Amino acid sequence: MRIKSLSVSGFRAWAQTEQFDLDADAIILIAPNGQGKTSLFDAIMWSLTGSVPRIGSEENVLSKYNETGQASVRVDLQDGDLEYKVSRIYDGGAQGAHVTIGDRSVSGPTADSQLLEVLWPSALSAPDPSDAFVALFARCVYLQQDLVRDFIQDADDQSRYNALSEIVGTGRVTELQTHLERAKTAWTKATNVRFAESGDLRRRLEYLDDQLKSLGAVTTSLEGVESRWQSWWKDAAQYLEEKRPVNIGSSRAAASLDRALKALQAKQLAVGREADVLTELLRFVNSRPEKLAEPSEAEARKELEEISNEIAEVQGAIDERAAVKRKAKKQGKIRSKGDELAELATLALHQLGSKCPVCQQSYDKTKTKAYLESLTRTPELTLEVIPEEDGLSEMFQRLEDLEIRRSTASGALRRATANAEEERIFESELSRRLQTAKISTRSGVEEEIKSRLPALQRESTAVAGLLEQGEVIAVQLASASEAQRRDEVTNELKVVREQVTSAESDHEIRVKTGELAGKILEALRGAAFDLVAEQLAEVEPLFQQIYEMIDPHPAFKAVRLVSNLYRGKGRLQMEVSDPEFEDAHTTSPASILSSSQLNVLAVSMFLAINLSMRNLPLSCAILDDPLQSLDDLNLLGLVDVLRQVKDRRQLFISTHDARFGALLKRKLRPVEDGERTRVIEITDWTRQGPVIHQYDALRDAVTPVQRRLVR
Amino acid sequence: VKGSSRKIVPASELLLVAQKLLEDNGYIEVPVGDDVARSNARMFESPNSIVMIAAFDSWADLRESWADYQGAAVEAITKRLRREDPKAWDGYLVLLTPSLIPLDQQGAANEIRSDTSRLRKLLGTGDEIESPSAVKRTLLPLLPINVAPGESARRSGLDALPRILKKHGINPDETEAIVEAFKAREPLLERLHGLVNSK
Repeated sequence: MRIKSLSVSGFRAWAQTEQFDLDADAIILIAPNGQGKTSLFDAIMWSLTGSVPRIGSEENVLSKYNETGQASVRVDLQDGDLEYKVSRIYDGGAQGAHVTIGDRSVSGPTADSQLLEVLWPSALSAPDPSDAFVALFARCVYLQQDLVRDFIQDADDQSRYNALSEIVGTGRVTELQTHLERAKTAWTKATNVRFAESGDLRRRLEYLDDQLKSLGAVTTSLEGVESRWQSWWKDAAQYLEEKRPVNIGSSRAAASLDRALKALQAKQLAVGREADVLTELLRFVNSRPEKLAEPSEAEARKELEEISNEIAEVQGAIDERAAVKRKAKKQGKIRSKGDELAELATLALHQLGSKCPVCQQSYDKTKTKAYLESLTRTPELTLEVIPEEDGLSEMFQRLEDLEIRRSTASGALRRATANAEEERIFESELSRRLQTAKISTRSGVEEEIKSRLPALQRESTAVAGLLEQGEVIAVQLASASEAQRRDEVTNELKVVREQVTSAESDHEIRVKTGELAGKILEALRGAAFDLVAEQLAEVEPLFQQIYEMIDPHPAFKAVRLVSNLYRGKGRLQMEVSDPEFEDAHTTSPASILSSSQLNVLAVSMFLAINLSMRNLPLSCAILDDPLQSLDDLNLLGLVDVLRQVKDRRQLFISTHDARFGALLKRKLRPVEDGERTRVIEITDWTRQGPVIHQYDALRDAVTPVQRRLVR
Repeated sequence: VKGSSRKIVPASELLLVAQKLLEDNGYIEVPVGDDVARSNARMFESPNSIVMIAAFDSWADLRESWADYQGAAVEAITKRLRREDPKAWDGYLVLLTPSLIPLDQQGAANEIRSDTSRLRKLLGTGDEIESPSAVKRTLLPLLPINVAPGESARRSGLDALPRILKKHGINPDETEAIVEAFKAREPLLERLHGLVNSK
């Protein structure tokens, strides 16, 4: 892909709109310093990448003398028959790109993504693709005057290695590695899940095998069972809720029959239970207890009460007599005591002195005498008269007779009470049983029972018959079903066997795929370093060749790239040496080479990287006034190099030196048909922008072949 | 100092090696002027430039007569090209000798190298030319830049992976399948599985 034309307006030094025809193999830009050379090349970079970090703030792209306040750059690219038109505008606020590819146009971020995709797809994998694109553009395509020695002098060994790594595109390799690691993990997981699923299939296969063996070779047909099926259902209908049979060939036939048989079994149980209830009821009715010839409970209770009253009456009389006797006894005791005291008082009165004759204590003789005299006067008592014949013995005899009678009456009452309770319980049980037997009246119970029992017996016999027949049909049905099941199992077995075989084969291949992915991952781990090493192996001879062609130093004529891994990080150094002296070498070129010689080293490195990327999407090498203060010999060497570069790249070279410019025009002139070299000379600069003169470099007057010295 | 025990390469051999190098890279030999000894000089032309190579047995010979050879070359050019023809100013004089430059003659050698009048001088002496193949170093400005063919003909590092991983025993078809799926944002293992499955 080459740059075909450029249009610049309001960009940096270019205040006015200028068009440039760049459809040439070499473009030579000649201008004194400060008149817009760098701005023109910056415009190309800005348009394609959206950034020129070297110039700082985005506002700096605006020309100070532009009347529109807008910077606008358009670059047309050509890749075979395909044209890309890239334009970018900045108005002091926002920047926007617009890309037209063929007849399709995109704008904004989509346009920038599109540009990345077309111009540097490997940058897409970088953490910030836009920044990576800018860096790669600066490293490989556009050697900026202010940054000529950046790569060889300012960058450290590691960042130099990383820069080369980015150029090679190891970012995409690392991204692939990350993707593959994730994919492999997911793959292994999915493979394990599938393996588990195939385990289920195998178990199913074993189960079906066992099933088939257990089913045997049954071949019963349902044809002979059909009529029995219909007849049976017709007979059984009276006992069933499900009156109409399903088709015997139906998958529901067995279940339907099963339900019917269960219903008949229930019916049979119910009939049996009802017959049992009636039989038991009959037995119960016949077991009614006989009534005994004893007084009723009420009569017995009345007799007992009368005897008890009589006993109470006799007991009262006895008690009364006994009370009189106790009182008389008590009075007798009291009289006897008074007589004794009177005798004692009389004795005491005889003996009464100044002191007590017994205890010798002093006392009031008067009071004592009066008291003793009172005791000698015993009061007269009215004694109860107790008859000689009290009749107690007869009373006790009567009481004893009455107690015997009461005991007899109590026993009669207990028996009467028990009989009454037994009768009540019987009646209650009878009511319950009648209710259970659904007999509403108590009269004629036996007759009703005797009339119902034979009917129940007949029903039970009929149901039992139906059950027997139904079970025979069920067996036939099951047998036929088994044959059907055998067919089904056989078919399923075939399908499952195929699935198992397929699953096992698939699993085996999936495992192989996973193992292969693991091997690829292992190999990928060192691939990034291998890639850089490979690129270095291509860059280094070019670097040496270009450096030697320019030959800037009389002794340090050889250069070499030294790369290594240190703690997992790549490092890249440049070594310059004197081939004539083994010890004359250094990896710090700045300590040996002059400023202009360092520039030659930097240009050599830039061109080596540029040329080593033979499929560089943008096939250009842009060098902005790269060599300052070089002597004539080195300038000639550089021009020889550039003439070779021109054959491989669209070459953009600028110089402030008119003599070098003239040399470039002569040396980079077109020499073959179809070649073209474009010259842009800036002759002056005003506030409207540079004053330019564009023309094609002269080629030989006639074709080189005719002009050869060979005649 | 390297090359202290070096083998002297005859001037005639240097001339032949230089001639072959140029011819291999598109130069065509043209007649040299009659007044220059044909035995040790050849003249060549390419679309870009005109080159005279002169080989001398000794530094002394070279120093003494190089100007004559330049004169002969210029005469040959001016006879056939007009002054305003750019090619008329695109000439090289390659001066070769197997002998070393004496220490006191280094200045003289630098003078020859630095003399850019009319033709650019490329000087190759025994100091640099330790073997016939070392002549190439002197001729480098006249030869195309040698971009090694092969490995880096790719758009990205991804394209190099089949070849790189082959060194680790991975079949390039398998790596290719992974890389293609990755570029197309398709499931990587599915693509690889398809390949494994087809084998």
